[in-house]
Amino acid sequence: MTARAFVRAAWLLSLAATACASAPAGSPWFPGGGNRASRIRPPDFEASTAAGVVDRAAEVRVDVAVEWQPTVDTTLSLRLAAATVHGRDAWSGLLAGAHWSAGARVRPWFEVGGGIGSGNGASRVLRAAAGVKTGHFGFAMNNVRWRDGLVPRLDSVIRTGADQLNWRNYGEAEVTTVFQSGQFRFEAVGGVRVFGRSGEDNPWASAMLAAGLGRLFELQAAAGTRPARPELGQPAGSFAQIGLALRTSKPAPPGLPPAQPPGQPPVAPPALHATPTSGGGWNVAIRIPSARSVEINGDITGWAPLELRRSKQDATIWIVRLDVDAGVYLVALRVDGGAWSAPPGLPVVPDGFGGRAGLLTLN
Amino acid sequence: MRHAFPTVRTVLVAAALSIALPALSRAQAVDTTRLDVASRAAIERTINAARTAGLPVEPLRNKVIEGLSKGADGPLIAKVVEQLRGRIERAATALGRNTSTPDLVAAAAVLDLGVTDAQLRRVRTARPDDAVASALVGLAFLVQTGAQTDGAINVVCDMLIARVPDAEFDRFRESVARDVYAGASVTGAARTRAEAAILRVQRGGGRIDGIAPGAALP
Repeated sequence: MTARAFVRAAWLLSLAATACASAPAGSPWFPGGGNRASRIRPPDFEASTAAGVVDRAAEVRVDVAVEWQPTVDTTLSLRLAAATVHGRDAWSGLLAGAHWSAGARVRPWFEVGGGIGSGNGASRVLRAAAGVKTGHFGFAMNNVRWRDGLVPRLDSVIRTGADQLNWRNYGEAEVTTVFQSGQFRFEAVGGVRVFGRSGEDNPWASAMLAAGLGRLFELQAAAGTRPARPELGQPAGSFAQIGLALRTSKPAPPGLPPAQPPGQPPVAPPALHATPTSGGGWNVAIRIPSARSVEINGDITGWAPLELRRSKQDATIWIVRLDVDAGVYLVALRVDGGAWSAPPGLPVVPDGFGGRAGLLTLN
Repeated sequence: MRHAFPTVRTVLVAAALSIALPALSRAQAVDTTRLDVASRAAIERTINAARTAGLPVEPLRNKVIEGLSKGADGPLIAKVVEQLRGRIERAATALGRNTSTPDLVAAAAVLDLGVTDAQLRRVRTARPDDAVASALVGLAFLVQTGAQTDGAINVVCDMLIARVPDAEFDRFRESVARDVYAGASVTGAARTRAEAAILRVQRGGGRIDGIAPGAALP
């Protein structure tokens, strides 16, 4: 089997994996599984600009995108991009895309867009692409133990594009490896065109190093080669660029469930929460609206009962400050002088003495 | 003479304990005086064995205090402490001798819930050089909520491999608890919430097309 045939076979296999992985309940193709209505975050906004060289010609790019995750496993994006290569061409266009989780390791996606250009490129294009991203492919396929921090992915892509209705179809396979450590992120991409070749089908590879600048900005530097885009009239070539990205992202922090309106059933169970304090200790809190007294006991208190006090801000919340180190502790809770029991929301383990306790993590 | 040996043995044990137990008592203010001599000796042997094996003794002392506070009798406390030492040793073997105390405490807890040593080794393989306590507590939650152990291990290992941070494991557990409370199956909720957590981690490098600024140009 030649190397090209091998790549093509791997690409077809990954597409087949998409069909298999999308079948279980909870996938986008079978609504009703899981908790699909949960909105997990507001839309994210990202704007980036970059300058660099493409085949020894200066290039400037601007990219504005809005991404929204309406359910836990769906991401929708709208992206406006513009670029100009000095002395050659200029482009602007709009892309709408969507991708899903269809299993922890497989994410099918599609995008559709159009644009106009001038110069050497085509004047008007339509473009559609679909593919599948497979997360941590190495572990999934052959149980390879990847070095700590490496998250390799295999991306299979089918693209179709039209240059004023002169359609060009082609398929690609890309492997992406991401390494993240603190504020730094490194990505490497290698790809090969597996069908619809246009005469410029050398494999491509590029790498990017990104450094977070505070909470909102990221400095990005990338270099490598990129593939030809036949429908755009864009030849394959080498590039190097440096850019700045502004990104807003608001992950919802864990916290106590919200208070329920009177007369309505609760939407979340009560749960014990611990949050670090500025002084180095921990605030442990739980919402128990009808309690008259709440006590905590466990490794965390040296197995001496400790009374929680009502929060001044919300009388249904009981709170206590504990000066202990981060760790894992066995704890029990007692309400209104009743029996000790594992606090709600924590994993329950037998204590060996005929009772049960909860596992509280402070980290 | 038949009574002489127990008397001598008692004296020797008492002498040994008079040396050994004050250290335990000072460290944790453990009042073991109400325990019978044999139980105190057994507990001390267990703690010394753990120390000799390089295992943390703090969880064992905590278990003694817990037993005393719950009014358990000496033999039961000694038995429970020895069982805990055994689980901590199994956890240290599966996770590695340099594993932190919180990781070992969490691992001992999941072993008590029926997770096997081999499954514990899978957790370490998924994250070889970092803390796994939060992941193990998440695993304990899934197992105790009714998830199949194999499925729960797969979910947790997927999250560990994707470098999901500790805080995300806490959030994951809370989300699954709410989903289950709302009527979802624990397996479905765990899988869906794990995918969401992995997606959040991968989003930074998971753009739809390309890796560089402006790469999504049509």
